[in-house]
Amino acid sequence: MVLLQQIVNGLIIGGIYSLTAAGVALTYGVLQVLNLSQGDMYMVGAYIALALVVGPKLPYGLAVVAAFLGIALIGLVTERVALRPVRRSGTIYAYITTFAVSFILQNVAILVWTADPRLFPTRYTSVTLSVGGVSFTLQQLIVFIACWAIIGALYYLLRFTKMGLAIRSVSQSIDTASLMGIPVNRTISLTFALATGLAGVAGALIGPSLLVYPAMGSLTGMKIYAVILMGGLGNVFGATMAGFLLGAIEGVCAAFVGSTFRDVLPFVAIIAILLYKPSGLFTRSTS
Amino acid sequence: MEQARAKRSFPRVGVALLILVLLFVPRVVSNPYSLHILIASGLAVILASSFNLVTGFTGQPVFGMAAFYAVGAYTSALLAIKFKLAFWVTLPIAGLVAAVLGVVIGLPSLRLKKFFLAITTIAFGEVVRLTLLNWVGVTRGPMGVTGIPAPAPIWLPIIGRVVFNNKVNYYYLMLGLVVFVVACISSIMNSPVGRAFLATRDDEDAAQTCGIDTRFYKILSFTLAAGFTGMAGAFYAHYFRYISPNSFGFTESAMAVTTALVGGLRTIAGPIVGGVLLTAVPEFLRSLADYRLIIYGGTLLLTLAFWPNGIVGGITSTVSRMQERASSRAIGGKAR
Repeated sequence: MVLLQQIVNGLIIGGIYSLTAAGVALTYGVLQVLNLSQGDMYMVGAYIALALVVGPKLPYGLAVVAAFLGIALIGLVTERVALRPVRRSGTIYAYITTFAVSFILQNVAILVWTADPRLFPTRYTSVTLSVGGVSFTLQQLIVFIACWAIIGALYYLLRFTKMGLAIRSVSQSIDTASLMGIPVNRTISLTFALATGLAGVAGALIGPSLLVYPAMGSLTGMKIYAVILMGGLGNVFGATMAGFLLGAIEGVCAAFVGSTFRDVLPFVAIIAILLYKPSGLFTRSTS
Repeated sequence: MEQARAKRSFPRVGVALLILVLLFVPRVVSNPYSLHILIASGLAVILASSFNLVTGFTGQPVFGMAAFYAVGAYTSALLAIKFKLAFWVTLPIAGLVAAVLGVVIGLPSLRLKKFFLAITTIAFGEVVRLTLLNWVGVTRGPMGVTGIPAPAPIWLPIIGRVVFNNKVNYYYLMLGLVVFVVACISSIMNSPVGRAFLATRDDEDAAQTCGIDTRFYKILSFTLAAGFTGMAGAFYAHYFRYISPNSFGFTESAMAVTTALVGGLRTIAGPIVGGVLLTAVPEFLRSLADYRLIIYGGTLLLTLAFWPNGIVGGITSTVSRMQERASSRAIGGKAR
């Protein structure tokens, strides 16, 4: 029963990994750039929702949407000032500029909200449900459902809409896409905004179940890189599946070996996976 | 030929002068705080130079330098505390242990390229940090290691007995370490080994066709960079006298990358310029306290947007452009 409970907990946090990682994978697919600030976008997303729920007492759902929009806006600005100027100078420079953004976000968060962890209670955190001995809060159930709904929406967007088609063609080749008349810069901006917005939603969703503090994005950010490697770089749906998988693995690990070494596991797992199958678990081998 | 020799001898004179100036710095700058900033700059220089060796010169993106830094620091500190070994013994051991870890972290580079390698090294860095954090029996976990002894006093010819109870002597020790590391890296880069590194970076297949064992050179560059960084870690431990897993997180790794890139990747001078600037400038901004790190991040963004090859690269290309313009003007004058 402990095992089942831990797996359920793991799957809920796994949904958060999935959303955040899907954003990183999307950015990687389009720009071949790892966004090192994704973890901090997630953190700011949590703060935006917290501020709106505690301050003007907005309904939680509206706060989540606001977190998405707010972070997407920050993402737009980030793409313009941090990624576009170095797009032609090699990917390693883009890592550094996104790292600089991460630095700025974390320190702005400390300045605005101080470094103290905050509680983020919503109406749903105090409602506990129990199914067959496994208990979880209503908030966690909402998180789980919301994650799957958003992943579904993302799938629809990428597969069946014109914007999705543009994103997919830019990710194949920026030059060819621009020859085909796709507005490349606009597509990249929108993709990046969407990708960071996903992190914002993830933060807003998980905030009520955890503490909110400026460094909360750091370890999550690191795990996200593990997740997108497991899923295959640039593979958005591989990343979402790997997110749930990592959550489940963490849950199992917490049940059997205790939580001490739980955080080490994802990193050991990716090293092992990469050495065994360098292209990721969810991609067909192309070479 | 004559010109080539003149070009080479100039930097040597320059370097000798620079070292001479650096030797006299404590005579002018005597307050401990400024010396502390210089010592911290030295640590940044070693980290960035080592990163530059493996990433800039050999082309293997390593984003987990803090792993070597941490292992060097913990090795030296724990040996000094548990076995009462002197710093002068633990320093090379720390370098060696970190170098061995370098081989281990280098092994994936034989199979993985670019981003995959970058993330694998990030993961290794986290594994090391989280292991230090959770292996409480040996590392004391989050409490960190306290009571690390200062380096034992040594006798030096001419100077006499040196006791490490003030920042001036630490400054000289740091300077020695920086000169040692930079000299090693620059002489490696001027040797056939260095050319093999560059060949491995530029075109692995072509290098292999020319009979260069790129696998060996990749591992070698990891090993050397790890060894240097491990020694910097040992210095860190015995200078601050306290270490904890928090001192060696992803931020430290990213700082090594940042320092090298802002100074100028693929040059010997770049990491040095970057190390001094990026350590000293945030300190000068202290009066702006809360905004300091935000300004720092903004400066980083601006530098890379306008000088994609870093400060040294930017200056070099500006100078060569000016020379070109001057020489073309001279030719144009003759033609007229």
